[in-house]
Amino acid sequence: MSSQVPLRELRAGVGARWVLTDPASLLAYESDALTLFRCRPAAVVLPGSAEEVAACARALHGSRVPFAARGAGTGLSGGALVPEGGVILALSRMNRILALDPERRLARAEPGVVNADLSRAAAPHGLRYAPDPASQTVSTLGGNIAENAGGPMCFLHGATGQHVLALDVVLADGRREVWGNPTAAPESVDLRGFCVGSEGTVAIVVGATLRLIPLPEKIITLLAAFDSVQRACAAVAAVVAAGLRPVALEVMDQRAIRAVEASAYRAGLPTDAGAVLIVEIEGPAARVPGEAAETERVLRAHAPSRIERAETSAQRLAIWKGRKGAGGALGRLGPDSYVMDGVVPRARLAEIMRFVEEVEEESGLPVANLFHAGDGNIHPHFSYDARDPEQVARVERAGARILRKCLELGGSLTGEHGIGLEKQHLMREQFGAAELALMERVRRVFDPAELLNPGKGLPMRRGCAEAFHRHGRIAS
Amino acid sequence: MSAFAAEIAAARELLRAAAADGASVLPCGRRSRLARHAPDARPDRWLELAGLRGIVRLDAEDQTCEAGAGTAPADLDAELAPRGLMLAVDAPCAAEGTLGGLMLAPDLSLLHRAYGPPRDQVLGGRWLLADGTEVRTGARVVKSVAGYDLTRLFLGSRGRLAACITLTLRLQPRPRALHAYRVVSPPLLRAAALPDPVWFFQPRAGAAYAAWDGIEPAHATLAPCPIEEFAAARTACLDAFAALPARWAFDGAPEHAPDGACDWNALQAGARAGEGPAAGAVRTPPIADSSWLPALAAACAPDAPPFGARAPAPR
Repeated sequence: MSSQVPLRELRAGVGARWVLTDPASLLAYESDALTLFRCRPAAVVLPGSAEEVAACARALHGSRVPFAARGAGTGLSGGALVPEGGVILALSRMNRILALDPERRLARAEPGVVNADLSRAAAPHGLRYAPDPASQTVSTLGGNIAENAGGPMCFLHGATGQHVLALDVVLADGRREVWGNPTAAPESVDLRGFCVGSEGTVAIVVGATLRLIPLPEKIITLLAAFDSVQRACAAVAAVVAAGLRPVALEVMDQRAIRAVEASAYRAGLPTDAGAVLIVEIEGPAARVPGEAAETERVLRAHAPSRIERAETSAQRLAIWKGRKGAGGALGRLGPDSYVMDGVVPRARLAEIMRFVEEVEEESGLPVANLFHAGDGNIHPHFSYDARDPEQVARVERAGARILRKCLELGGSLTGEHGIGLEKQHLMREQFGAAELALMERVRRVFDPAELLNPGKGLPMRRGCAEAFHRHGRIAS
Repeated sequence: MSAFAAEIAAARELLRAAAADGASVLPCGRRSRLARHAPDARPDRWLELAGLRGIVRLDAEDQTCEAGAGTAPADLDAELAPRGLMLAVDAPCAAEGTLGGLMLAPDLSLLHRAYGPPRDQVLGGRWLLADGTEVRTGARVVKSVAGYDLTRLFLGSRGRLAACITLTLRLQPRPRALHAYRVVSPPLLRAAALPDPVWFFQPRAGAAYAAWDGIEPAHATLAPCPIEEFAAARTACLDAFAALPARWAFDGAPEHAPDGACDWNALQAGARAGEGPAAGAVRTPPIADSSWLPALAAACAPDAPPFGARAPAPR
């Protein structure tokens, strides 16, 4: 990339203080939460409005400089990185909730709003924003939309895409459009739905109209302990097959439980259990107790060592604090952590978890598991030392083996973290040449100059990968 | 040998011949929704895909299935009911229409409020592009963000980007104990004063119906009603809906909830008058395709005339 960053235009567009070029400031933007990939941008710009984003895009497009939007940088697939010479548009200043409409149950928000802040603002109206990624106290709506983020509650309520009604977007060349409409009425091609999960490669989201749903009347959370992950997975499959509709079905294995219990997120989980299954049931007060009882019956058929029932909100919150803090708590197991994301049909969960154990043994690296079992979405956490190239190679090989097994079982390379830089080399194993060529052509409809978050989501062409620095080599 | 191989081969042959003859082609099912969704469609030839009938794969344990685009929604339902499952869509033309039509020319579903719009039930599918290339979109699992979600583009395109061969669908447990009510004050439901019902609609002025699965809410604004009355009202509502143009929009935002609990009174009044929705409450803008459609159609099949267009005359 030899194009010159148009600093003068960028400074004129957003104000000089919001254009960062000093190495110390850029350091924080050289990776997201997947630290396997690092690439320092040439500049970071912090626009304060949709119009300023559009002005930045026009300037960068005019100079042929690659650029990408970034929210809180909690992404786990290297999605918010630019190749050498590129510019990051950090949208953290665009953090206003523009409107909250309790009557129509919708909110309009800027992309830099933190996920949990939207639910907090909606709560006094008896409403909430359903998608709840574990990162929700930090991650932003814009990033959630770019990755189609999920979370425990998505088992019942669906991932981000099902809660986005309309998007204000800025295209690669700076044009502004509105995709979708708040009535969710029948439409022509669903650009809104296409944009959600496109990893910031189709357009930059500068505003979103989001669906809010009522807070449940009653919630019961069951915590079932099993002697093995496989048993817990079998119980999950049984709950799904029984036609029950809990809001969340989450599994944590022993290593994850023990890490949580040794951390500030301590939740009183049974450290002697092989795995715990968290089942949350919500809905009308007249129905929830009956469903909880039926769920307990199904769980008991799978020989749990015990089942606890949390009915007070303090008990519930402790369990969820433990579950959502587990990712952080696992950090203590090793200098670096690699969080994987793969999907299998729900009935094949026990099988994939057995395979993960095999891979763990082979790789010699400790693995902890906490995952959205109800959706078949696994998240093995590998601990390794990034300073040791041999360990990096091992963790990447292990990751690729697990993902290939997911595909073999009829699953997918990613359920909610995205392809990013991390998995683009595996895309040819999930999709055929015709599909990938079609995706490339569709990308160029929206960004013919290929400047918007290049190199993400789809397999890179030969030579492009070198623009991104990384530890080790790409595993194959 | 993949399912439907013979039908797909015939479709490819039709596309090839049409391109050679300079004839335009549009894919269709049984055309039961055509008058409402694409009244101006006049292709030289129809690519009829109603023959792609039947379930390719039904994974009851995983609650997903893949079905031919020509399958009637009612036929799919007959397979799912004994397994305690359903496709969470309740829209017109369930018996005479096709799944492909249902999803590609989408109607509002009476289950929209509880389960989202019809498109949310589609995980992916198999498609034939205008140049005869077959592609798969999405995945068969309930959650996947690998690659672009081309399914979203294809579903709203009414066949202009791709012809549908199969759809992979998310299924839901069937409601087990349905309790039906006449709702005296519909706005109460919108204001979140009551738990969300599975079904909610207003088939005629003054009456609204709601149904809950497994609970009997005690509320002064609800009057329990026989399931037969509920069923008749539901049929009336679907019939009214089937008599209306597919494109509509509401003026005056408070008239509708964004989750599809729309003002059926206005729709019904319009249907009775035989002239579209009632003036003032509902307007029907002309069917306007996205301005992106031509560029997307060219990207979907760069070396063939797009669906609905003629090949340029040979020089």
